[in-house]
Amino acid sequence: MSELLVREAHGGGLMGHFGVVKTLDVLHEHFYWPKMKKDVQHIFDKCITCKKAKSRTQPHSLYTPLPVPKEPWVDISMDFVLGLPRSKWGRDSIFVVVDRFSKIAHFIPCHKTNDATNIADLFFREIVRLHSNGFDSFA
Amino acid sequence: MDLIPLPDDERVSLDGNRKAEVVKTLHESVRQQIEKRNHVYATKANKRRKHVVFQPSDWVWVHMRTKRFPAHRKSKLQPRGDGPFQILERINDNAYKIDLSGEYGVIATFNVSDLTLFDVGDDSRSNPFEERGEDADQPNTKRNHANDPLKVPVGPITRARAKKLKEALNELVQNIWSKMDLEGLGTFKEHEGQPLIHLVQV
Repeated sequence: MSELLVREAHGGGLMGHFGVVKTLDVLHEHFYWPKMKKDVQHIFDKCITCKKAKSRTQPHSLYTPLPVPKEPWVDISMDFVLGLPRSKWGRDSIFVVVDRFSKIAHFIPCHKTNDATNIADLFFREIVRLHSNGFDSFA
Repeated sequence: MDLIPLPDDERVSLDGNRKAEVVKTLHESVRQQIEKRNHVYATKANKRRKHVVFQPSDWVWVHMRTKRFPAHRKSKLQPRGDGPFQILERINDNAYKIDLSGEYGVIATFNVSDLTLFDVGDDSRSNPFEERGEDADQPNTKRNHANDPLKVPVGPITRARAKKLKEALNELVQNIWSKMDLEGLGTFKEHEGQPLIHLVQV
């Protein structure tokens, strides 16, 4: 009986599939029974129409940090700074390499149009030459 | 002018062992600092987030992201989610493979943030259709009334239920026709071997 009432108050007739609080308010105008809120919550959780229309992304999954490196120049991060004015030598972007352990940063001028081979060349010339004790991973 | 002798305290560190020790302790302290900061970042980032773990055979509701289902999210009036589907495999804490059974034509691996645990009738998190699935394989001579797949279930008709219902109906019709065959009324023989009933989903 109570289930029918809740269903009516939630999705039947002129009701527009309101949430738990509004459904409870509607019911409270005429009815009271013990553990009313729990019943309403239970039926609301199982309403397929609500689930379909009100589905959203959930705040599931936690922050997962990267593994902490043990020594410098084992784990590095790289990025590009683009959209700078052209210099005298025609360079217009900066290739930034940061060591994730010691936070040493290298700023290497390069071209926006450089492709992977150019950048790899630059990397070996500027980074591996100075810190060549073998990299584990690049982020 | 250039030949100022090195100060005493720096000359001490020329000793190889001690230098190594200094570097080691320095690295250790840096590592601890990084871990400490990581911990702070994690607590801040996790403030309003939940750690949720599903098990295989759990029933979940899938949120259809616009990027993932462009054809099904064209208008704002189209449903935003679908389900319930069953989890097939847990890839890691954040990714799950789901039994989409070839619908939608997308890869059936989803992130946890798109999944919600769905309560399928009972309070237990187990699969309520398990007994029914085995029942469909048996001949329908001694069918338990409660587990009868032909009985239209009380709850919402999900895809899994519709499939079971369709299979049961087909089996029943096949059985009846084979009986008629035995009695000498083999008029429908050309239809055998193909599914006879296609359930229209409402």
